[in-house]
Amino acid sequence: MTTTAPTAATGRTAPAASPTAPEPRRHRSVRTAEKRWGLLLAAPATLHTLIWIGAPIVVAIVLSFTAYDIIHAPEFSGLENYATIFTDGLFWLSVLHNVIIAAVGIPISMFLALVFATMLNRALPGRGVFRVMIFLPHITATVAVAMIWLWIYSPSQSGLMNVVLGVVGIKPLPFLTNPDLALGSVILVTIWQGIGLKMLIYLAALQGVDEQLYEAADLDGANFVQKFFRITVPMLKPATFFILVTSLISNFQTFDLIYILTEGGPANSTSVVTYRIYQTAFQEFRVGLANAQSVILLLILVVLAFLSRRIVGGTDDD
Amino acid sequence: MTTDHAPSISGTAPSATRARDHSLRRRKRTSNALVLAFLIAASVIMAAPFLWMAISSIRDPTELAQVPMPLIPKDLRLENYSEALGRAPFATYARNSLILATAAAALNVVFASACGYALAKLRFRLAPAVFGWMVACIMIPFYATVIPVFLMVRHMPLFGGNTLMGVGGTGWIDTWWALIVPGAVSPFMVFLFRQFYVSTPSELIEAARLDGVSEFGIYTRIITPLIRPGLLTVALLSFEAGWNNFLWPLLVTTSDSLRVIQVGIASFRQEASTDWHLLMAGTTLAAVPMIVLFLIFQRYFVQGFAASGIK
Amino acid sequence: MSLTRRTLLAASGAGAVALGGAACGSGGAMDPSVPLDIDVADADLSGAIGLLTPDFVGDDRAVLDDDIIAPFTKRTGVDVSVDQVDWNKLNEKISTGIAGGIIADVIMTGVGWTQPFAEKGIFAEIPADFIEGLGYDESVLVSTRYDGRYYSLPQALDLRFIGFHPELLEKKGIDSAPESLDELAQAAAELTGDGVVGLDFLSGSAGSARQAFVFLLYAFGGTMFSDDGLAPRLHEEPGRLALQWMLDCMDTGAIDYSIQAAEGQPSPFQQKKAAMSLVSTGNWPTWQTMTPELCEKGAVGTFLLPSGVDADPVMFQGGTFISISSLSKNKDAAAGFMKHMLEPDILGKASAATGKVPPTPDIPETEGIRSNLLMAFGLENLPYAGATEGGSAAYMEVRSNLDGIVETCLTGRATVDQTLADMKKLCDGAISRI
Repeated sequence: MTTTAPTAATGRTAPAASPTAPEPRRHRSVRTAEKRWGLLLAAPATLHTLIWIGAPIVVAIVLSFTAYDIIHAPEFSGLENYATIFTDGLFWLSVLHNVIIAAVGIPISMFLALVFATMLNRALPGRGVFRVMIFLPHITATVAVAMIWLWIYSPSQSGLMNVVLGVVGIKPLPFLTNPDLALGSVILVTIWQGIGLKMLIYLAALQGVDEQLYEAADLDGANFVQKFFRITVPMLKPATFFILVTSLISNFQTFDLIYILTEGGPANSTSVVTYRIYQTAFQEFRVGLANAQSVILLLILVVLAFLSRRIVGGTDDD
Repeated sequence: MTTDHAPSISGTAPSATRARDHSLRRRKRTSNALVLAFLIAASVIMAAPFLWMAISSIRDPTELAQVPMPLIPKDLRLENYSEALGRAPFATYARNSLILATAAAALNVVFASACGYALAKLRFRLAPAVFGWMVACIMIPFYATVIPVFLMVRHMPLFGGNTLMGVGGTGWIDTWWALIVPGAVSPFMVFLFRQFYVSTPSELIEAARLDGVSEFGIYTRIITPLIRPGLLTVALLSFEAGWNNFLWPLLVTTSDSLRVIQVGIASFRQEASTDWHLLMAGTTLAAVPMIVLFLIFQRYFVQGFAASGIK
Repeated sequence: MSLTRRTLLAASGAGAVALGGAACGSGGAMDPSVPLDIDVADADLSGAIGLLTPDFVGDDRAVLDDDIIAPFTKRTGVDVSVDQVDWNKLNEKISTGIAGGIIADVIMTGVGWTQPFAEKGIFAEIPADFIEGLGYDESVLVSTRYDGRYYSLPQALDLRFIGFHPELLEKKGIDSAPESLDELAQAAAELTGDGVVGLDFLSGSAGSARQAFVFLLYAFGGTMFSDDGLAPRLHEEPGRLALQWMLDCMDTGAIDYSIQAAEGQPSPFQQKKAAMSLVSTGNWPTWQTMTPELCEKGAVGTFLLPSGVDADPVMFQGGTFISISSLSKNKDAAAGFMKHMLEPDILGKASAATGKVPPTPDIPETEGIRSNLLMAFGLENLPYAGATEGGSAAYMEVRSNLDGIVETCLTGRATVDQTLADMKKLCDGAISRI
């Protein structure tokens, strides 16, 4: 499946560009051409990212020290925005919701993904079909996913979730309008949507696990559960960390789902960081403050990335 | 969960092996059957929301009010689709998304591959710095920079009535520029391309140089053809990101004629409010193209996704 | 190859300056101080305008397209493209429009929205002599003014009061409308039981938790802001009483936070799962299609929200107001369309579709309006329509956060004291930024 793709998941990254050959004199012009073309080919993408990623970060940092409402020119306001964030309960509540979504959703979807991957890693009829069915939620736009779940969670008697509950004899629940249920309902969607990708990464990693380990275990009479916990789980450690890190990062980018499903409500019980930033900027016109919030989000992600690098350590040569 | 408990491997007496083999095979067969049953149940649950979407999109709306509502619609009502198409210009939305996604795919293939090739195969002084920068950029979420990017687009000098200082007009707001340019190069695609190029043989480059092929020719005619599957992977991933993009088009487009499909669905929700049979028809229209594309090019998607981990 | 690379490089922003010629001019200077010319003849109108509206959703959209816009286009040749957003998303739609500098020519908003957007210079001023010549009631016009000038015109009013099922009240021996909020709470408690909730106050079928709070705030004699809009008042004693009243009712079960009106389904009141309910005139068309039996004479009783402080009862006044964007490049056509929307027969058609009350002194006599019993009750009691949202240029920022604050209190996640402090903090902050 992954013949040419070097997956960070498996830690099988191809060796970095090694110096080609020692350089004889007659190739000096070649060497110059190589240098020139290297710069030339790398320039457009580099400039583009400098302009559209680098510059915006600088702009965000600068504006985070101003009071700016888009209509009037920005005014320097020192650390006021950061002081505001410090006491802004709603912002930290939103951070907390991201943390809860991650803490509950990621382990569950990772576990299910691992179970599915292990099962799909054997020769089974219809393997491809299962893989596609489990992966479809990931390939589908989150807006469409949110629309579907909005309909499934509908409190009306035709909402699928309540139809199913009705069969079990539970009376209809207001999944998205009760503050005690809303965050859980959102997490369920993130689990459902998140399994597919994690499963794929695990599948790729599983192909790097030596079959002989399982054969040996079979000979020892190990059962499925024993093999799973004694061989599969330890062998997949690098992939697990990779998934954990990328899931954490993408968790802090949850926006579309909240925008469509709950708008952060009810009682702010599903507000997340990105949605809060959006509201601050485009509902309240506090663009300076929204930029300060963005800087905090950036810091959170830098810390996460740093921690993960420390934890993952040598599995990734980049 | 530790590596210390690796299974012990012990030898078995040859006489016992055959009988054991036999029982092993039988056990394997029953466990396969169990696994199969579990997978069927699980994948049906995973696919149920999509089935529900499809069923709802062809349902007669009067069935929704029936108590109890029949789970399977009595007849196939394709009129829901024509009605949805009549209520909102989904064809325009889809066309816009197609243009946006195709442009993202093409631009990423051109510029990200050039950069990825240079980083993988050419030695130049800034290479380590550029590579470090790209990796750092991967970590930066678009959501953290969306407001400044929006302001930059709004204040693009000399566009949309703006002065040289970028004020007085609307810049790139509500234009194709705004939709396409900021996403034209994704640092992740650069990274992915670099990984693809690294696995190509450097000897070919040396040989081509001896043959007098230009550096540009080596990149376009010798090495890049070797990573054709990689090109397709990047193109598909960029297309997917473009097709599924929501927040950015939501912010920078205002006119109906520039609206992309995801934003179109979100706004159709507000127009059709409770007409779920129409909303699900619209959602199906937004979801199905990506699903079909995925089914056709599954292999290439999988390659890319396995390396990305980030939606 | 190098040519295309250079072109694209330029497009990527680095060389945008050099591409100035490619710019497509669409920027308009905004100058809200230039009043609209309201008297341009139909024949002189041309071009196209955009309309942003939170009303006319679902099936009503056909009425807007065919009965309201089509005659205007036929008469003037001006095309009107409609952009519809939910009330919940209207503010951010306008806000992103402002941030991007492109916004619909004609914008429909609600009570309390005029002052914030007029303060930001987004709405164009409407000539006072034109508005004053229309003869609207002062209570309606208050919401259209900012700083002594007019920035919007009322297109429809949405009046809210209490509806009840007479037979359910009879069964419990309640034969007269409550005279005070205490009596209302008591009646609601008595009516609760057997799968019926006494008072549906929060299900969303007639407004949000925020509006329910504001309604009660006025019933307890409070207001949201001081008269000049520069100091919050909602956190004072009436605000405390309003929150406490809802919490007390929730304790007895008379108000149930967890019942919700499901979109597209009859509300708890329509299903007779609630004996009494907050109802709005805009509910009428929904009742007609889903539960026509409620539209018969005598099927539903109505009374105003009684006072909590021995004063007159109150009615909540929401509504839809039309404004013209100061960024509009076709203000004449926009003004022409605004006038068109206010013509009696157009108001009548709109009212029949939305169920909302035409704001004009002489109500057009149409079948839709005559048969709307909720509207009839609302019009009879128009002098009591004192509970309104807004009243400060800082209101929009308050509006988008107040729902969460009220809901947080009602779900027991914050005490009343905390909630009032949060309200004050929110308002003070927002006011300090105007």
